[in-house]
Amino acid sequence: MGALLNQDADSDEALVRRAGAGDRTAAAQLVERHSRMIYAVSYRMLGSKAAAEDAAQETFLRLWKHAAKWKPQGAKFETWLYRIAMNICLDQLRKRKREAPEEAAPERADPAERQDETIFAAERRFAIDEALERLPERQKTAITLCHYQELSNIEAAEIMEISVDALESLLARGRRALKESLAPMREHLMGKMDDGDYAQIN
Amino acid sequence: MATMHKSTERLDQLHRCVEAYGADPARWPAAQRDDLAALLEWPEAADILSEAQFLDGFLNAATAPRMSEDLSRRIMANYRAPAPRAGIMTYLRGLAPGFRLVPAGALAGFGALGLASGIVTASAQEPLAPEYEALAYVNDLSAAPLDENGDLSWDAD
Repeated sequence: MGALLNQDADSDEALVRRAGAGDRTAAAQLVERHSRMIYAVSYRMLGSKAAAEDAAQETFLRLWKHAAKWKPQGAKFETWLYRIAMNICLDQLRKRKREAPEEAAPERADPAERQDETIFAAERRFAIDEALERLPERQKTAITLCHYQELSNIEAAEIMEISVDALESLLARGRRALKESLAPMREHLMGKMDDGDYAQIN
Repeated sequence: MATMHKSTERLDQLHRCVEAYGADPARWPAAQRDDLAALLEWPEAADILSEAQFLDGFLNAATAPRMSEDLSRRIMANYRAPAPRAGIMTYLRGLAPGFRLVPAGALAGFGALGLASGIVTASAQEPLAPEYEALAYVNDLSAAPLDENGDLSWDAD
């Protein structure tokens, strides 16, 4: 019984209520629990560290603003938080498109990450980063939530406020577009592969 | 014939699943996973999977997000304990910035004036014609005639 009470007190819902009432420790626990996932999804959507950090901060700002009045209304807290983050990212992408429609994709690469990877791995990473960048927003969102965040199809569909069938259609179209986009790279990369790389790709 | 049709149908299902979720059964919807994973032994499954495996390899090679440790601190720096609940006056001032509280005496004066004008107006009214009296009862059931059982008793005319 005591364990159950503790579990309830530590639930996201309880923490949001406490954070809304001014409990800083509860707010810190929510940040500890969810900031990585919010940063990761923002990074996948926006493609740059700075933009992802801004989006994560904005997501939590909105959380603090609504915490006092937050009610579950059928959705899990995490689903609601993901939805806020995704909306912020989509707004950001649309703003980017309006302001500089022809601008190149932001630089994703973290220099430290390049030191220990082969040329093959680096080229492959750049190729997929660019291909993801060019995907239409909703296809990118579906792939981000299902492939990278490893959410179930039901959770991803709930975040996107669409049916599971519609989600599957977005996933399939997204994957098809990526394959087409990467096709020219395929032969080029196959030619460069050594045995270790071949094991990685298959 | 029916078995062949069923096999084609199941391979189609596998194809649709792999097209959406990729070649790794761990990523397939739980409800379909076991059923479709059983098809992986079939020779036809190899073709369906190979294309998807190629793309999965690329997707897994994308740059991984690495959150800076400092971000949590910056997020917490934005946390503010919510302000005490605003009262009705704050809300009204938000709607109409010039709104000020009317002194209680003035408010009482307005109330008395309203009451007096109501009495004068009501006493000056003509009595209702009989055909409208029933309508007045509809709006004021406390004044409606009741029979001995407490039910409404209306004359048919």
